[in-house]
Amino acid sequence: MQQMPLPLQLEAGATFKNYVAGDNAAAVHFLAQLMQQNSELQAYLWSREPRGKSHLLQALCHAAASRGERASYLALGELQTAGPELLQGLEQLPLVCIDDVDCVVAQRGWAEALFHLINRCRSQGCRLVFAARLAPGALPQTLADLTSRLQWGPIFHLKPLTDRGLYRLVEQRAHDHGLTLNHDAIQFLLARLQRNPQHLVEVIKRLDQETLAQQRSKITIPFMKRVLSLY
Amino acid sequence: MTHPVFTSSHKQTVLNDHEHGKHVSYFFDLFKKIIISKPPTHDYKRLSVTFPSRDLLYYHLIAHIHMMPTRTSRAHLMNTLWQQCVRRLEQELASKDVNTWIRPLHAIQEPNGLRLLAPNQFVQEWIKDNALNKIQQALADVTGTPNALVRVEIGTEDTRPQSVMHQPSNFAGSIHTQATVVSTSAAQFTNNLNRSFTFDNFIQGKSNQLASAAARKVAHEPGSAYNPMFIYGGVGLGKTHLMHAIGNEINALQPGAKVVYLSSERFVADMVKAIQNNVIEEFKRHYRSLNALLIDDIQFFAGKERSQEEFFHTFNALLEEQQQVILTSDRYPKEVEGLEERLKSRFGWGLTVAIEPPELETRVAILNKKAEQNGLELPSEVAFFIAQKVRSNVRELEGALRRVMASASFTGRPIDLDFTKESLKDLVALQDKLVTIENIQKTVAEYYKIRVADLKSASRSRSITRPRQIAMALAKEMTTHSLPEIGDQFGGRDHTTVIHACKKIDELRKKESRYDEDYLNLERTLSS
Repeated sequence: MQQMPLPLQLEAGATFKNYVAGDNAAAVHFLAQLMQQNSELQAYLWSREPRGKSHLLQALCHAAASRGERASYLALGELQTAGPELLQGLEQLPLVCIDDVDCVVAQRGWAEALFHLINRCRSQGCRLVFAARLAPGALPQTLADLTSRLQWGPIFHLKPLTDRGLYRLVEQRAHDHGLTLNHDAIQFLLARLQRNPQHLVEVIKRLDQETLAQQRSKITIPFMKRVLSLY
Repeated sequence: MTHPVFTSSHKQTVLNDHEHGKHVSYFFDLFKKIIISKPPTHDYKRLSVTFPSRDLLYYHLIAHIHMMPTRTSRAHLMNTLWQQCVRRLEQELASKDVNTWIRPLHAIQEPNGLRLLAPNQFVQEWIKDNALNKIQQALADVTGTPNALVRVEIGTEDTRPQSVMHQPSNFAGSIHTQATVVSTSAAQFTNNLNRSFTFDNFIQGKSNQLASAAARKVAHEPGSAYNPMFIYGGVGLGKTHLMHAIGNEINALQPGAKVVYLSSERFVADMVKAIQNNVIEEFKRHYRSLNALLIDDIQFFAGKERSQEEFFHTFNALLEEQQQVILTSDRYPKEVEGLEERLKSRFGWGLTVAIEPPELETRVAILNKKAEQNGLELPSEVAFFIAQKVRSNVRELEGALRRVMASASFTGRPIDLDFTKESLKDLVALQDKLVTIENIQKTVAEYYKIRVADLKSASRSRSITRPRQIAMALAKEMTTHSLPEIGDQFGGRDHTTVIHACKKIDELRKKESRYDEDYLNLERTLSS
């Protein structure tokens, strides 16, 4: 009988340490410094493709928590049905990270709520970090006051990972899951899979599940071929 | 350092660095951290408690937290206890849920458990529906008592829950980090003024000359010079700065003056709260007793009839008493939609003054001032470059400067023109162009004057293979397609052919500049 993996695996939370920065090191450096600087209150990250925006925002929350500070991460793409009231009272926190800004700004209610949130956070000294698939200037111009406020802090356009970066990502994620992937196995994956960090991370998760289910300790190329239907 | 002494009913336990036993040493480490990091001037013996067993030591300490020497130490220990719970919850909940719902909570110790304050109703409800049991379990595990109670309320740190919060004389609201707290005979109130916005650091130029002069006059003769004063203009041009500067100047000249700055959103929220808490009369008295009321962005009053009604009466009362009212909006009062005519008309009674977008020289001066405030001297060509790139408003100018400063802080390089151009590339890029393999094939075929079909063909002629290899290398570089997918799109080739093509192009680019030029030209065309 096949052993079923536990429904809830130990998920490695997003931290700065397990983010492979590649050409985005300046953004990571800025974010890591954000909580320590008095002058910086805001930042905006964007990229059309998945390049770790959500990871970075959550890493910030994690970093705040390790300093004993409260924080909030809101993925508005998923939470937009809750309505803009979701943003109430957040200015009390030292850090608020808002993901998927592009999913809601076309709606007047959300645009106004974000505008007011920025004002409240500014006056309370709460740090705000936004992420979106589009640059502020390319967002729907529902509220000019909001567009301009989103550009108050530095804007970082996240760059894609190079082959080397992708290699490190796979190596690191495998390690986080307690898997050992040798050089050939990583090269095998990179030569056959989409070079999209999100996809690669999902594949590692899947390999982890399969090794658990099949009670394997070693990941071989034939095993990956079979599990991932690669050739 | 003398360590605290704890006793159990069986034997006395002196806690020291060599103490064994997981539970106790855990607690001891925790306690030591608190004591060492914040040494109290308190006699440790007061912390002695009798325990029926060692296992209950930690729980009892929590029950006796009120004996801790300072409020800060209490908060610190509570924080650590809550952090312990959070660490357990991290094992049980998805990390995204922890970041969204658990990390915003503020924990307050109560005699029989924890009170958790959520920033709003959504967080409160989510916790109740999805995590309350888990939190109770985590707390029970951490404290060793199964009966720990957890309550979740909406509220702010160090206050009672908002639902019962009563603010008799301070409708301006909660603690303000930069605000000045003004002492009056009636009560303390927060004026919400940001002290960093002054006339001294307001850069004057042609675009805001009139507004700036009028603002100074109002600050020196509040209630009589221009009342109300209505400042309007596009976003990010300094209306709020000017408004705060007036408030700060009035306070500096008349230290006892009651000046309050608030956004129209805040006025509306406070009014709603006052109605809910049945203190609307006090709300009215509070605002009508001010010497200067500064309301920002009054266009957000649009459609809020009850707030407009209340504001209308407050406005009239203040004007009758010759107290100063200052308002801002993004447009001329008559053009604000959703505002009652009688309000619009009254806004025009005093002085209505516009702020225009700053001209180049003013933008440069603003940048220099902001750089100076950050302890930075900006080379003139850099200031001009940024000011030329960012024309729209002061806020975006500040954002651009912060981006350059962030890069400089990371690289340690001096801020010169080349560095600034490089740093601001992100600012110019408005969107990532979606690059597809089809698009690459089309662009490469046009560039080399061949057909897309040739790229997909079996042809091995040099005039076709090189463009094909360049197109493959570009597809690998500029898309996230897998190598087998790329091979497929080039006439069903194997992924090893794509790897070979990429290696070949890499070599050729290093050896012969024409290949490098071709590659870069194509890359530029595709991404612009």
